[in-house]
Amino acid sequence: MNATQTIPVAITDFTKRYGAQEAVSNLTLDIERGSICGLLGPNGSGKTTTFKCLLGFARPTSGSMAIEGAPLTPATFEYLGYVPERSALYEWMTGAQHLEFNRRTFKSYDPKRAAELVDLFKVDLKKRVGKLSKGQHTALAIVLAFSTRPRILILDEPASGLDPMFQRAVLDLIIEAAANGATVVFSSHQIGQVERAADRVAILKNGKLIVDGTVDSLKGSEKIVEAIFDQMIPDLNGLAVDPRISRIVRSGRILRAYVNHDSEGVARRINELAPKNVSILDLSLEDIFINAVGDVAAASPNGDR
Amino acid sequence: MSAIFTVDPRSGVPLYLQVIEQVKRHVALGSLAPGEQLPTVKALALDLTINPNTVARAYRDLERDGVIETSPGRGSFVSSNGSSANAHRAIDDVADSILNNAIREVKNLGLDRAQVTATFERQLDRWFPIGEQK
Amino acid sequence: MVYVELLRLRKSLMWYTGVFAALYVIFLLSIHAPGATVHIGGDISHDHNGSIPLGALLAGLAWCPMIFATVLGVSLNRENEGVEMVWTKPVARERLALGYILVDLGAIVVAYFIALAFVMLVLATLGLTGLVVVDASAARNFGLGLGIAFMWYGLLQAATAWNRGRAGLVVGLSWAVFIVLAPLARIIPAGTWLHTAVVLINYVNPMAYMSAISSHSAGATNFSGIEVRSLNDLSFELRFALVWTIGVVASVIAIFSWKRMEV
Repeated sequence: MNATQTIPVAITDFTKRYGAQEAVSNLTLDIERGSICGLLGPNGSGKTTTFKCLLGFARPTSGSMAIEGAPLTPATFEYLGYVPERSALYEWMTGAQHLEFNRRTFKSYDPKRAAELVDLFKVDLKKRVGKLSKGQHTALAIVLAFSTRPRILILDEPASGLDPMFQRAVLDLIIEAAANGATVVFSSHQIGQVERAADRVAILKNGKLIVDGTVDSLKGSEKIVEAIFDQMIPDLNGLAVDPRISRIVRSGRILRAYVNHDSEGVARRINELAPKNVSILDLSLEDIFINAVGDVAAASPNGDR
Repeated sequence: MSAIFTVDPRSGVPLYLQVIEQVKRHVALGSLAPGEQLPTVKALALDLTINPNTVARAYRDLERDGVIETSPGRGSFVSSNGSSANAHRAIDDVADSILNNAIREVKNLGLDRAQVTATFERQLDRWFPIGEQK
Repeated sequence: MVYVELLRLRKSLMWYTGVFAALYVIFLLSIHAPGATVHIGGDISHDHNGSIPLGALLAGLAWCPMIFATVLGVSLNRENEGVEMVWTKPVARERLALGYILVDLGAIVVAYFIALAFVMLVLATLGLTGLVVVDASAARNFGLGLGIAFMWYGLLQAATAWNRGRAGLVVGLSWAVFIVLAPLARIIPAGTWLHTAVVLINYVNPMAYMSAISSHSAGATNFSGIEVRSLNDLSFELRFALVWTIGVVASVIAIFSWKRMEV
């Protein structure tokens, strides 16, 4: 198998149903080598379900998942690193024992690398995991995942509970891995992290992929066209069904159109309505995310599966 | 050396464009001299904590524009060939982009062309008083 | 891979040994108490001209590895809380599970020997070691006692491996059900369908094998022409084969249900 030609992480028409509920619907996502893909979505949008099936913890109802062009086998984990959202460490074992466990099970385990990472995150290896703080817990999981120098990384909320310094250290690890050719898929509630580290972003909502693209191209195309009118906002003349516009918000004499591409064209069209002023506003990834998922408050606060 | 660059990931301006503008600005100001080596893609990505592909894309565009040169195995350097012309073009690019943003914002205030021109000239007089013009 | 289970067993065996150590201390205190008299010669040596056959000792001690086995019997289930970590090691799941089960089986053997060592220590303290004779039933009873423990272990694994949580409940319930079912065959009048059913169910009841380990009371039952022989009437060989087969089959079911589990 030629490693430069296969797609490291390929999700094809993946659907997962739990009983009557469809957790993920027809998701297709190919992640290229050396790319860092940020998977975003409110709780319950299907991120964790996708990770679970990708890692073989659950089976897709339909569709397929492939790592390096092939279905998962035990040998895959020699080069795949994973940090779970929920801690999966043994509370009664020490950090040192966890490292020993990895040393015994991974051919790819690199003790020098592990020691560096332990140093970086200041993990107390002598303490039992149950006695570690939430952040140290996460840090140990990261040390374990990166100690084999994996070329594929699947990270579910890899920085949760870490202080800002260590969060930055995690981002640096991800960036370094990608610069060395690793492929990374990670989810985070902190959009700022995705905005920095990811070149690709995929947004899930209710199990469906609603936004997929590079961060830069999204920022280049997703804009707000804002128009201010002297009087009442006139009849919109079919603007609501313009495919370039995903949403229109009116408040008083201000009209805001959330545009997914060709903001200049939309601005010209709105200009025909003779507003006092039209401007195109840039969006941060957070704005793009919130526009895409819409009413965030309606998303369930927990129960991500 | 890479610490001279700064980017704002939260801004709506794509990061690769920010990197391009930063490099051009430094070439224009001379803080990056012709022939001077730029950080590697990996080093700059780590320094700014941004995606390596984003940096690589910026470098590719800068190379296409002739601002930098990349030799395989050695790294990227500020172009020395016709460097003064490059520096000038870089200055123009940066100046364009700054003025473009400024004019867009004034226009957003609802000013028409004549009003913008008047404002612009008032500012010109402030920064370049009569008699000082070259 | 076996590393984690070895660490865990080290803890469990330390507890187990600690209980025996405590019992021994209590024993020492009691024999040295002022006015204490020791009655030598209990049930075991009664029928054997004052000697203590090892086989009878092992039959009586089979309770110890059995109790220990019910503690270990949920080891795969306990793994499930953090199965995300174990399943992302480059080791096949069936190999992982088999590793756990073999290590646990080894620990059950060790537990049996610790119990034996305790009894020998007590006998040595009393200066009675010389009474112990190795008889023909020693190996047989050891094999059967171990088999009964492993059978219970396997049944617990099969009942809990594929799920998260609830393991403690299953262990407790298994004790309650098995303890009640074992004597039920003797209480319910023979010849009723209920009696036949209970006798049949007792084929998978480790406790029933336990009570049959050293006794041979007759009690064939038959209902509507179907003759069902009670466990006590089965030959040693058949009982031996049954407990080990049930233990192995249940363990295999546990391994595959664990492998197929979705979390």
